Amino acid sequence: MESSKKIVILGHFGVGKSSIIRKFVDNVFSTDYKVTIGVHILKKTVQIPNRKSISLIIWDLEGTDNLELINKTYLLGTHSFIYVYDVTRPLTFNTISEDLEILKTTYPSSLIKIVGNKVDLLSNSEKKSHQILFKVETYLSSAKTGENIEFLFQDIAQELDN
Amino acid sequence: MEGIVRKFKSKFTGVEEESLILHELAKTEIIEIFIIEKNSGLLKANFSKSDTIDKEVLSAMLTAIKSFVEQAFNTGEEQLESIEYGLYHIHIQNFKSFYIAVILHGVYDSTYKSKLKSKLLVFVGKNISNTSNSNLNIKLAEAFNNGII
Repeated sequence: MESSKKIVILGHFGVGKSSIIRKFVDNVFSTDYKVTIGVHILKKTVQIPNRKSISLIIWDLEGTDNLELINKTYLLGTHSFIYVYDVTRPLTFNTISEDLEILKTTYPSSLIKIVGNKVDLLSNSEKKSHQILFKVETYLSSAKTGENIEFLFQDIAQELDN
Repeated sequence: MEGIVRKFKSKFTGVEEESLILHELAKTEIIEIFIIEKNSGLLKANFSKSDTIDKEVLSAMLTAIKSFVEQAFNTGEEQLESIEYGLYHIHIQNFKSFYIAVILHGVYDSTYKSKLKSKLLVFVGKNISNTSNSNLNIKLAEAFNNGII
């Protein structure tokens, strides 16, 4: 039995949203930075433990530093949001609580996951202090090494199935 | 035989024989039908004569394009009703929580459009409210094969 879920990935410019998706869908990483314009849509089917498959239809939105500027119709009917920031650029996570509040208020039934990307650029001690800084549950990932990418989407698929 | 029929048709209707030939050559053919959830862009059902691109990604892309156009031009209640590319047309018919996209090639004039609209309305009235998503694919194929759509 297969069901489909809409996943929307958003966050500031250059935080690695498209790289995370490319790593997850095609297992590819490239340092060439190509700006996403509008929206890019990809799909991957994941298997969850009860032998069910879930098709994740992933909407990769162009980067923005203001969630209010996103075309609202792109966000409608979303089962899970993935909010990505860059662990090395505070500018990309300074407004995280306000942004999450907007998402929680506007889309109360959607699952929200927070991802701190480019964790491969942090030392172990920096990684620890970063985890302390963020009290909310955050996935520290790296599109480059693949750290926590598969895990993130598996978690989402399972939670959406419950 | 076809030529004789065409000559008669031309004589009785007053339409030039060349125009009738062109019309026959450009006969409308439905390639694919998609029933798509409006908000999420998720595919509810699909009927297709070919098996090419991923239907779920196509449904999401169509929804994104539709959303972009409707938002960009701030059309209020107006909704995108068709897309044209080369000899192909995408007929879009909007309902409350979903829309139907019919991909076709050939003549897509107001007469055809109006007939197609009515057929889709009948199909929706008969099938959508009381059919689960899994049966909807079968209903769609049946409707196509029986000439209902």
